[in-house]
Amino acid sequence: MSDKDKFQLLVFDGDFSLPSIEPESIKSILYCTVTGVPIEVNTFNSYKTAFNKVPPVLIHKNLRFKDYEQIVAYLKTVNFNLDSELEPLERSECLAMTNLVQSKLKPVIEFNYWIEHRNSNELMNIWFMRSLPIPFNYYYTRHFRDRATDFMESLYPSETDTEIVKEYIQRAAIDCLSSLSARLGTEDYFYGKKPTSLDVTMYAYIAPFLKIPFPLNEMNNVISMWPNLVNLVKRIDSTYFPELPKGSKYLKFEDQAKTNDDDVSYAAIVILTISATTLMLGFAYTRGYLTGKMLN
Amino acid sequence: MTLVDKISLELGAQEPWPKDVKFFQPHEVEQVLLPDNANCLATQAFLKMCQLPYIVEPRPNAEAMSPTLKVPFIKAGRFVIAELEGIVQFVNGKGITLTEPLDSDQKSNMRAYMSLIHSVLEMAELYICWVDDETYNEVTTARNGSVYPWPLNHIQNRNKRSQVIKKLKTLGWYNKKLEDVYSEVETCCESLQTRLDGKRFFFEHGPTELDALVFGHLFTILTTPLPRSDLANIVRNYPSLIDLVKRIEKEYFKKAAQQ
Repeated sequence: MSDKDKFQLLVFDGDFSLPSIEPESIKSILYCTVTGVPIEVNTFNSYKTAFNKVPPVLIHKNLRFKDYEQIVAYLKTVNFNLDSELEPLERSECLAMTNLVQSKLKPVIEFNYWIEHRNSNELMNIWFMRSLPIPFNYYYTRHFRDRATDFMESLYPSETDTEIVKEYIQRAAIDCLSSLSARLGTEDYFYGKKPTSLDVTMYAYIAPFLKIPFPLNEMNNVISMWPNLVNLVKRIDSTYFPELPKGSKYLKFEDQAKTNDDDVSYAAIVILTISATTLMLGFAYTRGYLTGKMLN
Repeated sequence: MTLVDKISLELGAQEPWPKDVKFFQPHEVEQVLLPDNANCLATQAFLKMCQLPYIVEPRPNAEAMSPTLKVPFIKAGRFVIAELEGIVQFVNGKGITLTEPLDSDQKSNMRAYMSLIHSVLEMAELYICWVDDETYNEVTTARNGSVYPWPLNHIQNRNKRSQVIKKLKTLGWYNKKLEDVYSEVETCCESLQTRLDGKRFFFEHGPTELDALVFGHLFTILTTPLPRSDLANIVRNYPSLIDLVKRIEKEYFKKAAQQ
């Protein structure tokens, strides 16, 4: 490669053995890894990086590309094209299938990340609050949640009940997954022996459900119904991300705190009871309700 | 859709196609906009392909009447069903289908192309109508506001514009430039042409809802006069798609007009 400049890719940090927590970032990382772009991945978790735009951002020779589509379009112009070996008909089908995945699985991701109350309050919110520096953590959690709400509103403008919206988007996602599974069959990847942009997109939208321990994760059970899709995710993991750490990076402390909380709770109760009783007795004594005689 | 609706829809589906099905859409001549017109035409083409009779009922407030707030919608007996996908499902429930000979792989292929059209052509049409200033000022405001008295027309236009912009923002289309939109449309047409591959319809056995959807969008793009004709010019570069559009128009719309 003649370009000596490095490609810098700025993404949200990864966790739970995902390359990144956020699907758009996952797509960008995986696309670059598979095409072999010499990237330097910077995670979006310090003040130094936080002043850039919303990840994923690709920086190359003073050029900036601010989302996955732009990144892919640029990488194609510098000869990193994932779909270059496909026949025209396959390329056309790949584009259509990628659109199908994008339009049916993105809603379900956004819903589970930010609209589902338990997931968003107990997991996503805490995760982003911890991984990003102040004040960006406030800004981004807010931003993501608003974006997801807007997304649902524009998809189903006549529905206000989240349960009904959830049913709609899950049904759409299930249809899409069964199409994907039928299309994949017993092959290693959708087209031949190498992943294409379809595999990349699919991985980014399915892997989070398989790996992130959402408090409420119905999609995990749904996806498990199609073992060939689960295997595809595992195959991509072992081929392209063999060294991802297992377990959680940011939520570990919280788990410890929780167990400690359970342990100390008895002690806390005892201390509280003793201090409350002392306080009451002391009050009664000073007011003269209790006299020295009574104590004797 | 709640469970009760679903059950009643399934029970009602057993009944034959009623004779007095009404097809609601905005006024075609003075009101309707590019994306809505495309969807209405696609649904009409689908119903004609299934040889199901319907009566077109233009209403100025069709959009607000629709259960999903999107046009078109039909009223068949006791049921009101909106949008092409819903109507296709409803018709399939009555045992009428255009996709009988397709296997599940082909069906998923068809669904994929339909989602491609929805997520590229429809978004591009919305972008041209509501985000591009020239088209918005010259065409969209006049047409969308035509059914409201002053000053309500301005308020309605502004409301609708902000809604559409919100939608385009969440789907990542608002930040695109006009050239990006055109190149997306080109890629989409290119891929459709490759898929069609000179055949009569997208699938060997005959027309499907995919053909209806492609017809609806491309015919509307080709025949709607706009200050920017670039979209139509892009589509004109794909002769086999134009042939498909002409063929469907001749077979399903002209014939009906002659009768």
